[in-house]
Amino acid sequence: MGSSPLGQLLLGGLTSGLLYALLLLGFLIVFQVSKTVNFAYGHVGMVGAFSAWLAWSSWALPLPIAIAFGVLLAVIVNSAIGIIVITKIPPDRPGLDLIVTLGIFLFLTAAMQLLIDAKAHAFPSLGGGSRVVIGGIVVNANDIAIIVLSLVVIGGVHLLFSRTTVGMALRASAESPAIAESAGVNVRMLRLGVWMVAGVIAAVVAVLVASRLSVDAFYMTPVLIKAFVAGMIGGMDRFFAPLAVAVGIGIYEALAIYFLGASAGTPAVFLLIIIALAVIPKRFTAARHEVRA
Amino acid sequence: MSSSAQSLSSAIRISDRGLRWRHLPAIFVAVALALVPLLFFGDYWMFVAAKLLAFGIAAMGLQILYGRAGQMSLAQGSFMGVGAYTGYILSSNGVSPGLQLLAVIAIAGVVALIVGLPTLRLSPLRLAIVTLAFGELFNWLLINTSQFTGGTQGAPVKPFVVLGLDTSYPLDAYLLTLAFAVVLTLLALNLAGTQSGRRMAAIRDTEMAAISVGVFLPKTKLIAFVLSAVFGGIGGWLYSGVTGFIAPPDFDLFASVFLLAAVVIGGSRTVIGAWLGAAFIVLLPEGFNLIGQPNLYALAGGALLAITALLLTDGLYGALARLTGMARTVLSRKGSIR
Repeated sequence: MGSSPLGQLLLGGLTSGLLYALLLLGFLIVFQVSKTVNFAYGHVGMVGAFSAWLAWSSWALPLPIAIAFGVLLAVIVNSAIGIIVITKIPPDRPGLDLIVTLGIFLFLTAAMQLLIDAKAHAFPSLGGGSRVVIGGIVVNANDIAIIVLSLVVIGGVHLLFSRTTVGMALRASAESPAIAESAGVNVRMLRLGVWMVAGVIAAVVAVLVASRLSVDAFYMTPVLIKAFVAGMIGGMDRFFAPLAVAVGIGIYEALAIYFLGASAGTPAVFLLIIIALAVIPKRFTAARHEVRA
Repeated sequence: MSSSAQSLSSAIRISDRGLRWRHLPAIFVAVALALVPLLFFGDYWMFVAAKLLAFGIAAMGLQILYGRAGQMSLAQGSFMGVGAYTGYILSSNGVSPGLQLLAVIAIAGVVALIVGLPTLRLSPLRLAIVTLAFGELFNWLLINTSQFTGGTQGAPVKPFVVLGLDTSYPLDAYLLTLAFAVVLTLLALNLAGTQSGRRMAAIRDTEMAAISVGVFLPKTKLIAFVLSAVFGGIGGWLYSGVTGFIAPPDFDLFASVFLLAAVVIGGSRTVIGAWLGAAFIVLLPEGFNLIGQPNLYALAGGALLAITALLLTDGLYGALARLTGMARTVLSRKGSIR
């Protein structure tokens, strides 16, 4: 049976892209409901994954419990950020959210470096060992888990937003918090709930990314940047377009590595980002809700 | 051309009346502060002071872009790197410091044009992301062109020898950076009185109103971005001369975020704020070194960035101004009671 290196890379690109899309999903629901750009979002996931690693390797907790512990921490951290942002940032100071979350971004990096260390550690591979070969492409349980999980979560969130009363309340408070409030929606609690869900998503993505690479205090930054940029290109107030762009970035990155060599991935992606953001007209990216920095 | 010259001269005329005397105490304080290292500091603290001046120049550049024009850059550290590595590559080919400086200004300016030109019509958030991407790209370039840059290992920089000064001596390094700091501070202060400077402030306050009074947004934003990059380049170039060693982590995303933190913490609306912020990001790690906890710097820096941004609208400068204002009213009240 002939192996297919290009197909293998495309699978890698697809799964990376789905992870970007999943992280972007958490970023988007917070942005849409709170109009907040959370620059520390990737690091919230990092806190979860790095703590899970610590709990598993140093405290010898079983892996599922260690991961649950990490997810819980991420939810707490993201809710704390959410509470600060929701209650302390007045709407007449645009751009403040980015500055404040940049500060939190620095703080979380430093805190994890102090509490654990600054080195990279191998994370359990989460199904990377059990594999099947389909059409010359090696598919492992990790890949399948990512594909299934991202489809389920993205579909679930879409249904939640479009088909349920909670989703209607969410959309209402995104559209006009004052009117939603007067219609009996507890906007603050709803927003906090969205921040909590986003915390879960961040931690799950970070654990999955860690299981494919390694875990340290910095590794989520490039993932966040790619997710963030996909949001900017696809439009922060849309749903499927930005997520599709995120998957596209993952596949493009894999192709760049395949055709140009392993070190070409980073520059190819960032060049594309600069060109795309500069060239694509504003109306396609629906920038009307972008915050002023 | 003539109309801008006219408005410039009228601005100078306005500032002639009375304003000059009002600035006298500030000038006095600045001179006194500049003298402190010369009178009291040994080699190490002189070196720290020189480093502070180099960071201050870069922070002033970011203050022009962020505080004056309201545009956000996450690449000021990278522009410091552009300056530092331009100087390094030229000096290892035997180019003199004077020509290095010209090249640093030219290259920082051209790079800013290339990054800024297509992003002019973007919202500030998009500019922030593009500068972030540029910073990542620049860092990748530094690491992957090690035959020119020394790669991740870093590179030793030849000291600048100009006008009898040799930057391998902390005193000389301090004097050289001080000369640049004085000239560039005057330039930055002067910007407030120029037409470009006022246009930048107009864009920051409301873009719509700025357009309606005939401000061409892209040009003004571009001027602000190029100016900030040139300040960053010069600051980075001086930093390389002062420290004698540069490496990619000196100019990565964290460096850029710390410069932004400096401007926000110091007070983004004034040039003095940039200096307060630079003092903060250079002296705070020294302080933590002194108490034997160097790792706490990033932790405290991040927390303080978030807290200052939330609580002090105009940063340290605003807080100081409010304090002196309160002191003044208290004093004058006492006077009237008597």
